[in-house]
Amino acid sequence: MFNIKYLPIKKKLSMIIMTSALLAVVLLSSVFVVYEYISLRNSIIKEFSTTSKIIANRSHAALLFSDKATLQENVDSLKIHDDVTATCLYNEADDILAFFSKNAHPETKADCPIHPSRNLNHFDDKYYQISQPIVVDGEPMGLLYIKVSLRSLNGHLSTYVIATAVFSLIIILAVFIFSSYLQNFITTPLLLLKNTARQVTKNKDYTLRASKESHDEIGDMVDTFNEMLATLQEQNKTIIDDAESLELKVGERTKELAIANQELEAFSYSVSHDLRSPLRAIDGFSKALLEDYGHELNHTAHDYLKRVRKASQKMGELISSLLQLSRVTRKELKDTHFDLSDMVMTIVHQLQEQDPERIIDIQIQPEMYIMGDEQLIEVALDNLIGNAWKYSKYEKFPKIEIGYYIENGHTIYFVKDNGAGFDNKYSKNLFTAFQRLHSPEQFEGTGIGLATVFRIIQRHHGEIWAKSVLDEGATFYFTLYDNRPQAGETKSFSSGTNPDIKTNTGKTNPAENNGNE
Amino acid sequence: MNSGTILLVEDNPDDEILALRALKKAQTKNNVVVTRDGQEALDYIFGKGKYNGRNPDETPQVIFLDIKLPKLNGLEVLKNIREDERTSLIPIVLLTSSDEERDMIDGYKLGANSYINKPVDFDEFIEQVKVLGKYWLGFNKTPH
Repeated sequence: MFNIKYLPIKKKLSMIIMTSALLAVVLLSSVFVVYEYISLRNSIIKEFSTTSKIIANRSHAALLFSDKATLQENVDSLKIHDDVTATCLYNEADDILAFFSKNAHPETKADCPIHPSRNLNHFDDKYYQISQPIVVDGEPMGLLYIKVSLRSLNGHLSTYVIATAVFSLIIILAVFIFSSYLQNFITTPLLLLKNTARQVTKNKDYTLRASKESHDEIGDMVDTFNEMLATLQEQNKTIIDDAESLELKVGERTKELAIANQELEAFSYSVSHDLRSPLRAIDGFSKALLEDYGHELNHTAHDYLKRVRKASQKMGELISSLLQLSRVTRKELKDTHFDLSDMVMTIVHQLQEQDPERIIDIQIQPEMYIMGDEQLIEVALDNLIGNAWKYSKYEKFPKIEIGYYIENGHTIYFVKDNGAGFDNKYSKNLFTAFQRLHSPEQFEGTGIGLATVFRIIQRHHGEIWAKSVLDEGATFYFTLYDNRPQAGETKSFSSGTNPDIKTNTGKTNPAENNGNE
Repeated sequence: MNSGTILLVEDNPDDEILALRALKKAQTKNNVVVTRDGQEALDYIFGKGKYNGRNPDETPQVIFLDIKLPKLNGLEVLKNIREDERTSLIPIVLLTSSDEERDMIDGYKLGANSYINKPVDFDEFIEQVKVLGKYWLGFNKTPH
């Protein structure tokens, strides 16, 4: 559908101007034509009312004396008028006393009405008819009737209409030519502005400026537009500068970080070399002393030397643990999909080999597949299972359980033992390096293991937490690439409905059974 | 047991004494030569500098090579030994205090035969030297 809204501004302007011009010309022409028509009619009326009055006056005497010849003469005097087609003179009884008619045979009196109206003054398409009563001394004596053809009037009017139309067309044409030229004063600056705006948008070139062609509202608009562009250019420059400096800063920080990392690496490398060799000397020479000069030393000296050796070995372990913690932090993650149950079995097997006398009931949920860095997960499980192994050593019937369950769509792995446990109020210190909840006489350890586990789980975007009842055991839970279920979440499973969530012993959350064992 | 020379490259005098003691405890009867940095080790092997005149064809039976050494480090010494045709087949046991995997990988890449992570516990060290000594000095056959 045609809609003026979608026309270009140039066409809109043309349309407005041409429509207005056309309307003006048509109105004006119509007024002229109507005026001309009315004045022509008036002049006819005036002319024939005068003529008819003169003839009527002239006919008084002839009518009184029934002088038909004079009456006919009077009537015939109108013959010279080209447009008069008939003239008829009646007595008071409507008898035609004299007449002439250009259209019919004189005898038929065709154009003379039989009972003419007394005061006729009528126009139709082709004729004008007028009647003039003849009154002598206040007494009506007869009537004069004249019929005038309007052919020449109509012809004149047609010529006038054609002339007006031609003239109107010339005016319209002139308006079109002039307006086409003049509207450029409005459309050209607008088009320039539009093209500049389009180029700026397309090329993101804020250095462009629109040229000012006029000093009117459009000129003001161009100025405002250019000011806007200047602001944009400035802002754009700021953004680019900021981005560049940010990039530079990021680059610097990355470099600094890389240097710091290198330093850390060099540091742990040198720690691993340089801290160990004096320890080795302490241990080695103590041993040499015991072997070579043992017979010269008394019992206390032997005991002291043994303590020296034990302490240096302990420090060796401490260094190893610290290095492992730092390595766990630095190592690049290489995630693979692997069988956790297999890994757990290997770890348990190694522990059993180192400690063949211990009899422990171990439950491992089969086919636990997991996504993560195999090396790091092994370190974490080594620590967790190693702890369970260690802290259940005073138990009469030690039991360790490793498995997983699903709560609200979160997969939670756990390592559970029925050993010494810990007081829950210290549980927040569990994963801090060098924080120990037990004395070294009771359970040996470096206090770095759980910090290492924490770091590994953290690097896998998981969470680790623990629950325990003192002297009844502890359970460590962790997730990998997943969050811990929140307290507000409702439990969406029940034991036995989903085989995936059952552990080997058919339990769900192992902590809930802690108190019963 | 084979009667060839054992070359021990060790800069730390404490470690040197302990290593010699461990070798003795491991019942090795072989002659042990000790060099204290990487350059001295290469000089000994190729009969240069201080060891000018020594026949490089008389290669050590086994080299115990510490990684952390002054002047040239153990890995560079290893590289030099492996690059020379005369010495490329000498069994080399790397010694290190660190348990950095990187060192181990670099060592094996450059052609080390064994790798001992020197433990703090001296008893463990003796065990390791015993096993390796028996292997490289006794059971293992190397071309001459």
